[in-house]
Amino acid sequence: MALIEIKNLKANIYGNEILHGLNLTINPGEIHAIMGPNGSGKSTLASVLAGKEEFEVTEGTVTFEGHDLLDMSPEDRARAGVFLAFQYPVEIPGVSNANFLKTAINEIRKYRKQDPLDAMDFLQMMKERAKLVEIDSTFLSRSVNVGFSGGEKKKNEIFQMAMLEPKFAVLDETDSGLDIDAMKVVANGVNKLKTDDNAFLIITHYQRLLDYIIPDYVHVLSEGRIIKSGGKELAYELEERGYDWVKAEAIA
Amino acid sequence: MSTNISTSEFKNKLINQFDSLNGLSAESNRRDALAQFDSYGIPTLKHEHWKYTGLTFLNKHNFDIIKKSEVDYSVLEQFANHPLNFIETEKIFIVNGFSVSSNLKSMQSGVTISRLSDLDEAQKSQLVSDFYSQSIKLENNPFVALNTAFAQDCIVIKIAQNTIVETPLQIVYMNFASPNAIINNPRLLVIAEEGSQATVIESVHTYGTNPSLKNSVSEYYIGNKASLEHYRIQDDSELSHTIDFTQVNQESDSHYHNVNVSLGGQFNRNNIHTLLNGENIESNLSGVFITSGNELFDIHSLADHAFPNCVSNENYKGILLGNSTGIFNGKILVRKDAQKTNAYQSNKNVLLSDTASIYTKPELEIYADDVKCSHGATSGALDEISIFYLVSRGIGRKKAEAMILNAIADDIIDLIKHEPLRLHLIERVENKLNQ
Repeated sequence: MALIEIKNLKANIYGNEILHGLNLTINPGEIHAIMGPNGSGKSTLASVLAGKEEFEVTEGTVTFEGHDLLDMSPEDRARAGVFLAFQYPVEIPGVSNANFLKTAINEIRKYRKQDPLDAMDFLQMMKERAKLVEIDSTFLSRSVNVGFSGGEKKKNEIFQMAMLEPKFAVLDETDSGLDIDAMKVVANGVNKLKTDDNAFLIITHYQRLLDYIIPDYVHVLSEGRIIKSGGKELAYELEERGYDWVKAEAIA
Repeated sequence: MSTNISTSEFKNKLINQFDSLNGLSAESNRRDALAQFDSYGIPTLKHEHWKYTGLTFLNKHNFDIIKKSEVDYSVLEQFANHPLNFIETEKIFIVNGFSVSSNLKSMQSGVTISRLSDLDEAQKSQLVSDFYSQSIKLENNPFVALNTAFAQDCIVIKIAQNTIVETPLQIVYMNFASPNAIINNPRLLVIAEEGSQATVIESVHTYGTNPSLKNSVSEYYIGNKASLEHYRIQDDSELSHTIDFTQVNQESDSHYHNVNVSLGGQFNRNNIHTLLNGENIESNLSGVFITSGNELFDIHSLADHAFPNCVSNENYKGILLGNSTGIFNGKILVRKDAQKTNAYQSNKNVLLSDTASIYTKPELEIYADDVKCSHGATSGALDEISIFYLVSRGIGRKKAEAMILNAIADDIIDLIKHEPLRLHLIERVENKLNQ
């Protein structure tokens, strides 16, 4: 069974339709990349999957592990195993990373009818996973993203992903604003977290992240639809030739 | 139970009782205060400082003045199980404006606690000429004038030179009104002498069947190099009405920090004026209020910089629910001589309902030309972007909201250095926001 199946998805924000009938199927164990020019609907897709209220779905379905994802509240989507790494991670003054993640993990565990994690196990897990993304464990007691550099914020997204162990993670332009070292750390984190049971959707402008996270499929999103799909070599071709030829091909 | 009374009837009723009360200060002072109260009258919305703070509850509840012989001290028992009775402090109980004589001795050396009226004439006249009512203005301050005319007791706390007071002093104000609504006029004078260090906690607790109005005046004198932490806690019932005036005079190199935590009370007007009367003074005012139902919380502050090289910070936060109202009016006054002043002011409010209101007005009045002053105020709903971030990690919306609100309140509460009090308040805020 597909992990997530998006069929003919149409969505708008404040009355402007951005997604005009998008189809995408992702199976467990796969990494998909979506590339496309500005305004093609990449971030809208990420927001719709995460359940951001400003986006209105007018047609189509999204099925996640056989359940109607669009019918679920944003928190229930997260609890069921959907994760969005934000393009612009949010600063939350006064809420520590530790308190934030402990609350999140225990809400997820409650949803899955598991006992809450005790403080020691949680601390142990935090320390381990922090190493995975090469972040200093002192940051765990700091407020969520407050005073973090751009790179630290993106690493924190991957760290949260490592803690919450989603089945399906969407990385929304996680590579934007990252230097090459930080990008390697982010990519390394994703590669270590990848299993045969989970799947990733990498949204990016540039091919360079895909040098480190090797996708199984690359899709081109243009004007709210996927107009071309291929293997990882498609990313190189896009980098070299831009998007116009794909668009021309699609029209023809 | 309650009968409506016009503002002028209320005023005259109080004035008529004047002669039957044993006042504190010299008769001429009292008469002068009474005259000030009489000529100004009860403020209306037309008065600048009462523009958003309606006093119609005064007409509704017909508050009576209480005499010492009428005070029911058995209300003290009701505080016995209150969590604030268990924090480690030295407690001074004030019931309906009258101190409880049994606890007027401090266990700590260098600390003297007394009633102004108990002092011998020489001591009394010295205190009155140097301190009592010396730093406050009665004109345009009708409630301060009212208190000065009608206060029948005044607690004087004196912290001797270079004394470090280990155990905080906690003044427990108890209001009790039954079967009539009662107005209390408690009066406090705190003198922290040169080089002393202390913590003073004030808390307000209202009991009985009818509304109480605590119309209090407190004067704090902080000597050279002295340091005072001052916490004011109001976590009270719908019977609770407060009009409070606190005047703080600071001398050179002194440090003063006021943290005001208000979690409940029907009507809560706070005036706090600091006079930075020397150089190298640090003066910090901070507070957080959470209002719900039809509650009103109002803070009017003034940081008066009279000398150079001082720092003042003001940081107030409000969380408003239901039909509640919040008012913030903060003024920084930098006088001509107060060069190199550094003054900062911030007021941030979160409105959690469409029917809650906040009126915020920062004011700067600067006569010196080499100063750094800034102020900022924000008011709005909870930030949806922050909420969504938490929710997108599996945290339920209600919990996400509570986490963000708790963080706002705890930012202020964390300034309280007395750990048991701080932990108690953090827990109270958490419970309140989860209701």
